[in-house]
Amino acid sequence: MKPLLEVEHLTKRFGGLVAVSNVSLHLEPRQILGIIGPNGAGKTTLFNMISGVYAPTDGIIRFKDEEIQGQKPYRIAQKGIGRTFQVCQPFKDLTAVENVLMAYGSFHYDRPGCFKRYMAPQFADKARELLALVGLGDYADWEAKDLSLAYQRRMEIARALALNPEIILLDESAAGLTHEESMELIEMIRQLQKEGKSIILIEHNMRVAMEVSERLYVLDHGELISEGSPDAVQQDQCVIEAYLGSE
Amino acid sequence: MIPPYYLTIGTFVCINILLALSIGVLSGYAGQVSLGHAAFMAIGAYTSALVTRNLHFPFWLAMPTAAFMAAVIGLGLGLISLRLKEDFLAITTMGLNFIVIGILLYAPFFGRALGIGDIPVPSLLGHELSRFEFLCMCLALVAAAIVLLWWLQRSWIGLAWRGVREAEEVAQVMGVNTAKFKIFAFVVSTAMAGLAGSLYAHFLLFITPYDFGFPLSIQILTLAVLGGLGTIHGPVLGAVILTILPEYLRFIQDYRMLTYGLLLVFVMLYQPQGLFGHKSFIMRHLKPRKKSS
Amino acid sequence: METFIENLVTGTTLGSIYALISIGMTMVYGLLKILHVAHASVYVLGAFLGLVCYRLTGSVWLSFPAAAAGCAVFGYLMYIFFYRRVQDEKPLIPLIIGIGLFIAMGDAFRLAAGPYSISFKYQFARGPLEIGSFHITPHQMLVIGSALVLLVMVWLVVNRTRTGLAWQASAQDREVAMGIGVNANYYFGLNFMFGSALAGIAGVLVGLYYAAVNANMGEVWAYKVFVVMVLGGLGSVSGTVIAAYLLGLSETLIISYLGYFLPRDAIAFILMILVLIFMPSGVMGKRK
Repeated sequence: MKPLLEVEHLTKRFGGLVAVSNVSLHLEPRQILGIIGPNGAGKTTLFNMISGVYAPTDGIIRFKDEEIQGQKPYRIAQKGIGRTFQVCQPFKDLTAVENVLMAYGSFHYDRPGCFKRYMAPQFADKARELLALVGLGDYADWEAKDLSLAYQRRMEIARALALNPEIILLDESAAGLTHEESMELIEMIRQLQKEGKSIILIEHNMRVAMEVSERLYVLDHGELISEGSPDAVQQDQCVIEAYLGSE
Repeated sequence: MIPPYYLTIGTFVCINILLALSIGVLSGYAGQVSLGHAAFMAIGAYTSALVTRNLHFPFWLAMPTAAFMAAVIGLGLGLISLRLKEDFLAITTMGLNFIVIGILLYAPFFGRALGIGDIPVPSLLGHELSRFEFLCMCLALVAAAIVLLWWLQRSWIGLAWRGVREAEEVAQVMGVNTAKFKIFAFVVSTAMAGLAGSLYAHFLLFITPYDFGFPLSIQILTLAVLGGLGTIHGPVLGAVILTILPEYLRFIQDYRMLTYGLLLVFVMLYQPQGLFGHKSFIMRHLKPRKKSS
Repeated sequence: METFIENLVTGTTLGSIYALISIGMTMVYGLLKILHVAHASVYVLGAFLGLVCYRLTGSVWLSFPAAAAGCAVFGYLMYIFFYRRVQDEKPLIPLIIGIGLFIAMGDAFRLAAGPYSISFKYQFARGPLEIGSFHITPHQMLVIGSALVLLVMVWLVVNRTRTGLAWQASAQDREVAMGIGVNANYYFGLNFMFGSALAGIAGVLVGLYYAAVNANMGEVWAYKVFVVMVLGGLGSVSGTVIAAYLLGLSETLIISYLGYFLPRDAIAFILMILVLIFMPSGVMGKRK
C-alpha cells in the first residue's frame, strides 16, 4: 500500500543557516508517527514545510501521490492536512466555536455557499461536536483568550479536526500537561487513529512520545539521526548522545 | 417644507457614512489602512460626472459605473497590498491620492484645475430629483450599504475577514485563502467610496481636483477611527458626529485640521478600538456587564 | 553644459536637504519599526525656531544650535508622550498617531504664524563662486557643506560611539538588547533627539536657501521622505543618504529636461510605488 505522506530529502536553508537537512520520512494511513529531538533540531520547521508555511529549499513532499511542496498553506489545509502550533495561536477575540468554524469554513469559503451565515445551527452544532470531542463542550462560547493554556491546546486540536483532515500534525501538544492530562491526550490520539486519521506528533515529553508512537524519527541539528520503533530508538547510541550532549 | 440647509447636512451625512463605512470595511476586515481614500471618491465623482455629461448616461447607470471604476483601481491596489506590510501600504495609498490628483490636475480631459462643471442634475425615470428626493435616495443607499455589510459580516466571508484581521498566517493554515479575501475587501471598500463620490458630484454639480486631496482622506479616516473600525455602527456614528458637530460648534471650522489631528492622536492612544468599538469605555457603560470567566 | 552643471549643483543641494531630513526618520524606523510621520513637523519647527532666533539675536549662526536644541527637545517629548506608550502595538496605531500629530501641528503652525511665507533673508558676505561654467551660490555651499559635515558626524555616531552601537543592537532585537542591559527606551529617546536635531538644522538650511519660512513647508517634504526611505532600504542610514541624493538629482534633471508633465511630487510617488512593488528591500537592502 502506498504511503499517505512521503517526505524525500527535504532541506530548508535560511540564508546561511541550515534548519533542516536531507530529511526523509513516510507515513502510512492510520499510523501514528513521533518526531523527537533536542531543541532547535528543526522539527517545527519540518511541520512548517509540510503545512505550506515555508517552501522547502530542496526535496519533495508527496501527499496521496501529489506533490505539495511549496503550495500555499490554505490549499494544503483544504486538501486534508491539519495542524496545531507549538506556541498556541488561537484567534484571541473569537469564541472557541468561532475558532473551530474558521477551519470548518474551508469547505465553504471558495464555494457559492460562502454567503451563508456561519453561525447557522448546521455549522455551529458541528463545531460544538468537535469541541465536545476534546472535552471543551462547556467552554464552547468562551472567548479564546479567556481559556487556559491547556484548553487552548485542546481547542487547537478541535480546530484542526474541523478540516476533516486525513493527517493531523500535533506540535508539542503534551507540553505543560499533568500526567492525567497526558493520558487523556494519548487516549484522544488513539481515538483519532480509530476514526481513520494519521497523526504525526512532535514531542518533548518522552513518555507520551514513546507510549503512543508506532514509529519514531529523531532529528538533531536538522538531520535525521535515527528512526525505528520506540524501543529500538531508545537504545540507539546516537540518540542518547544527542540528548546528553545538548544538556 | 424642510429648509435646504438641513437637506444639505443630511446629504453630507449620508455621503460621509458611506465613506466611513468604506474605510471600516478595509480596516476592520482586511486589516489595512488607507490614507488616500479620497482618491477613490475622486475616481467615482469624475467618472459619474463625465459619463452623465459627455456620454449622457442616465443617473441610475452612472452610479454603478462610478463604483465599478473605483473598484477596478481598488482591485489593483488590493493586488499591490499583498506584497506590502500594512504601514507601507498606508503610505502607498497616500501616494496614490497624490498621483490621482496629479492626473486630474494636469490632464485636459479632466478639466485640469477648473474641474468639471455643468454636471447634469440627477434624474430618475425622467423626473429631475429635488434636493429632498435626492436625500431620500441617499438614505436608501446608506441603508442598503449597511444591510449589505451586516449580511457579509455574518457570512463565511465575514468570518474569513475576521481571521485575516486577527491572525492572518494562522487563518491561512486553517484553510482561508487570505489573499482572495483581502482583495475582496479592497474591492468592496473602494466601490463604496466611488459611489459616495458619484453622489457628491451629482449633489454639488461641480467638482475640482482640490475637493479630493490628502486632507479629505485624513478626514475620512478620522470619521471611521473615531467611531471604531471593525464595527458597522462605529463608522456610522463617527460620521454622524463629525458631520453634525462642526455645524453646532462653528468655531471648530477654523481649527478643523487641528481638531481632526488631535482626535486621531488621542483616540489611538486611549481608545484604539474607537469610541464605540468593541469593549470601549462608552460601550462598556451602555451594555450591561456580560458574565465574565 | 552650463545647465547640466547648474542642475547638478541644484540637485545635490536638494539631495542634501532630503538626506538630513530623512536620516531621522530612517533611524526611528530602523529602531522602532514605526513610520514617524510627524518628523516633518519637527523640520518645520526647526525653520521657525531658526528664524525667531535670527530675528532676536541677529546672528544666523546661532540659529543652527537653537533649532537643533529646540527640535531635539521636541522630538524627545514626542517620543515620551506619544510614541513610547504604543511602540509595541500593531504598527498602524503609531502610524495614525504620527499622522494625527503631523496634521495637528501643521494647523497649529498655520494658526500661529499665518498661512503666508515669512521672509528669512540672509545676505552672505561673499558672492557666488564661479569657476568657468561652474556656478554655486553661497547658500548652496552652506547647505552642501553643512550636510557633508553632519553626515560624517552621523556616521561617526552610529558606528563609533556606544550609543550608536546600542542603536544597532536594539534595532536587531530589542529583547536581546534589553537582556544584556541596554535600557532600550533610553536609547530610543536619544535616537529621536538626534534625528530631530538633524531635521531642525535642515529646517534652518531650507529657510535660508529659499529665503522664506512657511507653515506649509512640511507637507511636501513629509511625503518625499517616505520615498527616500523606501528607495534607500528601510532603516539603512547609508541607503537613505544615497537615495536622498539620487532623488534630488533625478527630480531636478527630469524637470529640467522633460518639464512638469506631472506635479513633481507625483513623480516621486510613482518611483516609490514602483520600488515597493519590484524591489521591496530598496536600493541598498536591509542593513544587517
